[in-house]
Amino acid sequence: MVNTVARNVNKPDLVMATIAPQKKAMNYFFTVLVFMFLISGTQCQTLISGTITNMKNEPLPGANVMVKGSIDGASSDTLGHFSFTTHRKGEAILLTTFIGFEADETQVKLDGTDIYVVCRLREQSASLADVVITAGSFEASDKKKGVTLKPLDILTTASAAGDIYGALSTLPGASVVGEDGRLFVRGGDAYETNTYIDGMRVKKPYSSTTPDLPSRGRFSPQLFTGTTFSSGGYSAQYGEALSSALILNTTGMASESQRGIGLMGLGISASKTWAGEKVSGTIGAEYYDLKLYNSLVKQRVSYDKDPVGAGISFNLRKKNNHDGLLRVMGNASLSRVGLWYPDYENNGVQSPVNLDNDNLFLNSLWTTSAGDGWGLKLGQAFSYDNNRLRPGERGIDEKDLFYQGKLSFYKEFTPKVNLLAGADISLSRFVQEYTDPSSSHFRVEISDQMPALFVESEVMVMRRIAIRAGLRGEWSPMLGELVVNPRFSAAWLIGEDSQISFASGIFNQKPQEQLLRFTRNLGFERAEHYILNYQIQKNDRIFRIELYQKNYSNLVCYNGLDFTNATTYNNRGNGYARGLEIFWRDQQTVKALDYWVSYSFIDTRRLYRDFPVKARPSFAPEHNFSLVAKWWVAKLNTQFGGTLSMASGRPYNDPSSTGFMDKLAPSYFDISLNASYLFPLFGRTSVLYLSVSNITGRQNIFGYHFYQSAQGTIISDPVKPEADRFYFIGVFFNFS
Amino acid sequence: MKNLALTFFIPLLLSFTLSAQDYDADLQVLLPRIGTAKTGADYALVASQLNSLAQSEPGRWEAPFWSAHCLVLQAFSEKEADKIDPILDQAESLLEKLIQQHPDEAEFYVLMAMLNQARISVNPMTRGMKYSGLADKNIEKAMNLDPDNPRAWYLKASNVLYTPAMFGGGKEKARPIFETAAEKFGTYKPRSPYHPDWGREQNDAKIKACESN
Repeated sequence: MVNTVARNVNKPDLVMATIAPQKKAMNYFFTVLVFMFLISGTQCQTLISGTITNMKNEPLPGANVMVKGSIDGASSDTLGHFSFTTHRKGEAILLTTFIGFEADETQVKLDGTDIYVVCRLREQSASLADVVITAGSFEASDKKKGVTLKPLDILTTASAAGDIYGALSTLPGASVVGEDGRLFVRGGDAYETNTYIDGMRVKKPYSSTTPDLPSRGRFSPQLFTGTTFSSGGYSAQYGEALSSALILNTTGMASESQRGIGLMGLGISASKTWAGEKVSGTIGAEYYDLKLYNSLVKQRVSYDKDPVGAGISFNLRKKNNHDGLLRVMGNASLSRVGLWYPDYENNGVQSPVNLDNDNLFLNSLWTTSAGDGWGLKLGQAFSYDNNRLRPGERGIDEKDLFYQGKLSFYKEFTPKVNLLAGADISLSRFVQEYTDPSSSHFRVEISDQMPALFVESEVMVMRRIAIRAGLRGEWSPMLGELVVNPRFSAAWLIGEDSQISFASGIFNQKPQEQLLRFTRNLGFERAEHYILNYQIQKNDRIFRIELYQKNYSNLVCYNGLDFTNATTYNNRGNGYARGLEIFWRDQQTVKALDYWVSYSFIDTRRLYRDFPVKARPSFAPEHNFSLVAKWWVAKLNTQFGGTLSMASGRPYNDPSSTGFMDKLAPSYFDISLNASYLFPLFGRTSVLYLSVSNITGRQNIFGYHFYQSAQGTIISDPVKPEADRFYFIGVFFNFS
Repeated sequence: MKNLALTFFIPLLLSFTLSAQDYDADLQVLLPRIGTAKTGADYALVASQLNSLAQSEPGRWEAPFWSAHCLVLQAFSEKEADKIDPILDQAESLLEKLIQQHPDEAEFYVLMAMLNQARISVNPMTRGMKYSGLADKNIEKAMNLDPDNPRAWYLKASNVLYTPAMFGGGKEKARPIFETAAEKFGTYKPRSPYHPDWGREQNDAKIKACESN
């Protein structure tokens, strides 16, 4: 009504101009005008009312109904009812819209007679952007839906002590292998998991350590915005990983210029960031020396040389005009350590082991649009690792050179169809030199140039079903073998918040360099994955359950007593891993409390390496459980965190027993706590960070080494952490 | 006879002029409804009415601008975190088009900054840093184009107010900025009846909130 009056008030000038200015006519005009008002108040106006429901006839409150092309309309009430009037006449279209539903258009005839309509809205069919195939995949980014872990979560997980791999070991699928520190996924060995930064394989993602001391990731979690931990069934883009892919995507342009200084109980770090409109960059340096720490905290191992290390790093971002972005990052680091270690081949006599490691890593990614909706990515990665291990009088020097170049094209044809295709080449060169005072010098060089092609497409095949199908082909000139890997996965959105997904594929990996030292007459190792997943996510709660079966074949076997003999090497190993995993995360129930719980059950047996029979490997405990909790206390500006990790005992082989790998070490138990206190300084936020592991002081035993004493008796030597507890204290200052 | 002809003719003529879209008149009807809207559904309705009006005259900025404004208000009133982004996506696409057409209009950046702030509520822990940074950038752009825009100052002050003292925000730091905004509100004259003129009451309320402890 208001509407009409407003219009009519504005109209008389126009109407008057069309009529001769005769008084009679004027009078007449007013009569008509009054008449018009009467009409518009009665017959010209059509009352439209009705109900808006979904396809199940449940009312939809808050939906909009409008006469198309006009501003006449209303929104539905809590019962889905609406009503409004319009002055439009004749044929018209009634347009009903509601977020998350497809718009509905209904033909109506407006002639003053009341209209009643029932609109049933169909839920919008999902586009690929709405679907994340969750089978085998934990994604952590702040962009996509279906996010389970974010980069910040990794940084603040108590047991992780700032290490990406440490944080991921609290997720289902990963096993705690305390003396190693690398990721062991679903009954797979550590080498079966590969790390990719901006799509490029990282050959040496872990720090170099001596036996039985855990390694850490070389990269700070702060470098990455997105992390996808895939415990199987991953995209055809990624090769050379039998079990798992850790996909890390680096941050884009830096948004703020700043400087940072970190003082830790064990070292010091400094960084500077420049942020411009088109270019941004960061340089950083760090140094650590554990001498002081080791003198304060009792260590189980005795150090000959306390661990020292230093590193420099940089990253550069440059925007181009045509949606292009160039990312370059690099770091160079070195580490030195020496410790006393029992020589098991020599009656367990303590002998010094020294380790020097130098590592260089460069990675670049250029993304741009290639016209006609195609996106182009060109990635290049180069790494050099020089590892010099000196157990006693012996020397094992390893040099590893690796380059990968990768070009890929991507296009989204419609929101329901996309295509990715590309090629990559990996050049690798590995040199090992072994020297022994008693024997002659042994040198081996292994190099390969492995090209690969991949193509993958994602399609919404039905309203609620998305599939991803891919193919990857790899050719290794060194092995003289071509492999083709089909990959297939699908997600079915069964409800607004829940989905079932499936992933499968064939995965190949070249035998490790250690296995190729004596013969090249080997083929790719192979695994098949089948994964079924159910996930429900509502607001800030997520529950997922996953079942998988992984079949291994062509695993490399050899005779452990005669390992230098090329003829004992073959690809006859095989095995399986199957299991059940459960994950629950809740950020909602208690304000400011965030916690997640993971449980994994693994049943696995394999025949590989020097195993005489099929057995459960030492890195695959049957049960793994972890609870991670974080509690932000606003009053104290502090986040408190805790992690509880438990795992059933791991198998080990006791030479005095008749069976193989038939003994179980004690179960593993650890509670770690941390706190981060934020405080202002120089207009920026600085952080004080404290963490302590194994708060209960439990004596964890990971397994046993056996050796013959000088007297000829068999002695078992338990493998334990280097110290009962690990303490970390650090303060990180930021300046503008 | 002539009279009789007019009897038929005039209603016909009138109904014709009535059905032709009268952009300005419709705008004058719809704009006050933004002020009286209470629920998310109210905002959604006015937003789509304005959007419908926008399509009738693609060259004009008023309807799409106010439609985007309405959607941002709807997002602020939305309680389910999952629904906020789709609403803001609609607003952002309207606003991006407007900024392309009129890159020098300060009010568009002011609204964009509000939109950035609305995104924070989806997940303050992870989004706070990014989107308050984006909001700051848009406020800065608005201030460069129109240093006396009181709403830019108001949003800047709000951003400071809701930033924890730890991160360089808080009442004490925000208050002088709100006061600057109040001065600007005192002298500011909107360039047309369709230009935004909101913010005085909100700004005064915030000054009071800063004074109380």
